[in-house]
Amino acid sequence: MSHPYKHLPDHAFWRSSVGDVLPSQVDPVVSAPFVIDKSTKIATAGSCFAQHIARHLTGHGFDFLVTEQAHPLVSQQLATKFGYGTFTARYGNIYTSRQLLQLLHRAYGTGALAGRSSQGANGPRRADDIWMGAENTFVDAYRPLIQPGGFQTRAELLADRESHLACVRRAFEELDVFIFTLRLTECWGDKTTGAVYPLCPGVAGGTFNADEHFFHNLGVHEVVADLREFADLLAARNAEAKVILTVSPVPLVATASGQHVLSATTYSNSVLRVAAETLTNTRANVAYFPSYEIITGQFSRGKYFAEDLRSVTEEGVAHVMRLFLKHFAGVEPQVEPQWQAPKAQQSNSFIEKMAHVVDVNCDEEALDQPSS
Amino acid sequence: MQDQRAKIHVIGHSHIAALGAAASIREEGGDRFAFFELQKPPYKPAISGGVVNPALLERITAILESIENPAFALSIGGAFHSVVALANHPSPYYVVGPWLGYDPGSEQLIPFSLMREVMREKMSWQLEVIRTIADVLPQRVINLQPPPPLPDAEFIKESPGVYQEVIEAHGVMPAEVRYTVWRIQSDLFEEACRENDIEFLHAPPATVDDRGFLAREAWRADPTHGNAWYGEQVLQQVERYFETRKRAS
Repeated sequence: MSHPYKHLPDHAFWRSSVGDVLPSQVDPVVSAPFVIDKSTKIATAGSCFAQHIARHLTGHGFDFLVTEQAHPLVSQQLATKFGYGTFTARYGNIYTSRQLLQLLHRAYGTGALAGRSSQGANGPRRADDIWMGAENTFVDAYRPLIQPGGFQTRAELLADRESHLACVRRAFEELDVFIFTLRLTECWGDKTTGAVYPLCPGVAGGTFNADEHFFHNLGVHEVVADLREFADLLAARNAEAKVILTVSPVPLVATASGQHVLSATTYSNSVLRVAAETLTNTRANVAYFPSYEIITGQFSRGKYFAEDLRSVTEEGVAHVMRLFLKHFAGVEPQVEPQWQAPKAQQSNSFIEKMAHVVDVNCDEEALDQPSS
Repeated sequence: MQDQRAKIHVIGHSHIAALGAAASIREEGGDRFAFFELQKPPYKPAISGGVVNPALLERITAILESIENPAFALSIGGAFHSVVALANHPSPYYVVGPWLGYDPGSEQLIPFSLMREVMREKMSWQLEVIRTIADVLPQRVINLQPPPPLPDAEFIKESPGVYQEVIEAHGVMPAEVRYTVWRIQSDLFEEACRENDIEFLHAPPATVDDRGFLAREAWRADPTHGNAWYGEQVLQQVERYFETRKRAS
């Protein structure tokens, strides 16, 4: 007797591809729609998990595109502390599809999410996009943790933001492949302009005001719409750009949805996973890579999570990256990569000459340490 | 014990040359000051591998054992701001502090709080020398603020000193940026002094112009250091400080 399942490949069956397979050999990637090589300019954005991806790509000699570099006077350690080289540009963690779309709009000054003034009930109103930090410093509401110690003046913040957005434009126009890790559906924003923030006002600068700020938990149709609009805008600026979507396996630190954090995590991950699948099925230049399944799949029996049941272990990341490199780059890494700093603009030899003459950061963690 | 109550020991790098020059041309009182030049043997380098030169500590200890209540003035590595920001960097940058405005061109912005951390990192050896000396010296020690930068880029070009090659290659950093880097350095010194109970003496008011740069009378044919007149103003300031302390005690 014949039926449709009779001739399906092994990967279609749980026992042959998961249940009876050594955990380290589980490989849920069926095919990669395109490949990368060491000349491919790869840009990344997302959250903590995307930082792991960037680190491994660099370690394996791939061309991790960094358009916003720290000045050569700045040591690697300080550059990392100040958010340089963590992602392609110094945008900090981008948790939501709305934040990603908004970044592109802000970079090009287009659309309702460009962060410009809007018409309020009492006349034009600026977006609440500059927050006050400690000791009268200024915090960029769109990337509140990239500048420890804050900006000294509003003018300094705006100058740095302008330079940053130029680097963002360069990134989107020069990249070959954009890897984006979808992280959250929950977001906070400005009621009048609709602009969204990576963190709730008050957590790392600014002051929460229920009359001015909103909480929103994105639905699947909204995430899909955001990603489609983003893909269209990216294509308009860079017709050859390809996108790889992943979903972060890291559970929420906290939820403002009213649900239990476990249920909220399931909701968020489900929405993001469906949205990623929808984009992949409808856009030829968009691929999905199942890092979420590799980390959370039952086969690992939870060992890819650390003691806090949130952080992904290096072993889990290594499994993800081994499969990513195998399928998208055709390489089988045999050894763990050596961490290398992103290419610096140039050495610090100037200071040396003059003198001769005479961990992965996750700003969502801030929610675990509420400011007093 | 030898009676040298008035002796003031000045320990430091190149900036103490102006004080030494001033003391040497005094008709009276020049011998109140003794100078340890840390850029010369046996005190060079002042620190190596994170350890302060034992010769320096031995000399200080010997003074403490031989003289009652000696006074010390420190000026450690104060010209470092010039190493960082006298000449334009091959990758031009600017930094703006809360003191002076600056209208940038196409240079890269280094945000102030980041530049402060850059300087803190690069000045770690100077700050460690100050901390170590503070541990050895229980009292009567002050730290001298390095002289402010010169406002005049043309003068610096004409008198580039050891920076001639790099200034010819890259030009002089805009005055506002040089001032900001100097001020960051000064604030970090002052912070270290506060943490170690060392009094920090700012440059004498007469030596500073209305924008905070080194006053014209204090210039010498050099892009960084003050002249003997500047040195004399500082010597008098130091003498006044210790006299006031003496009366107060």
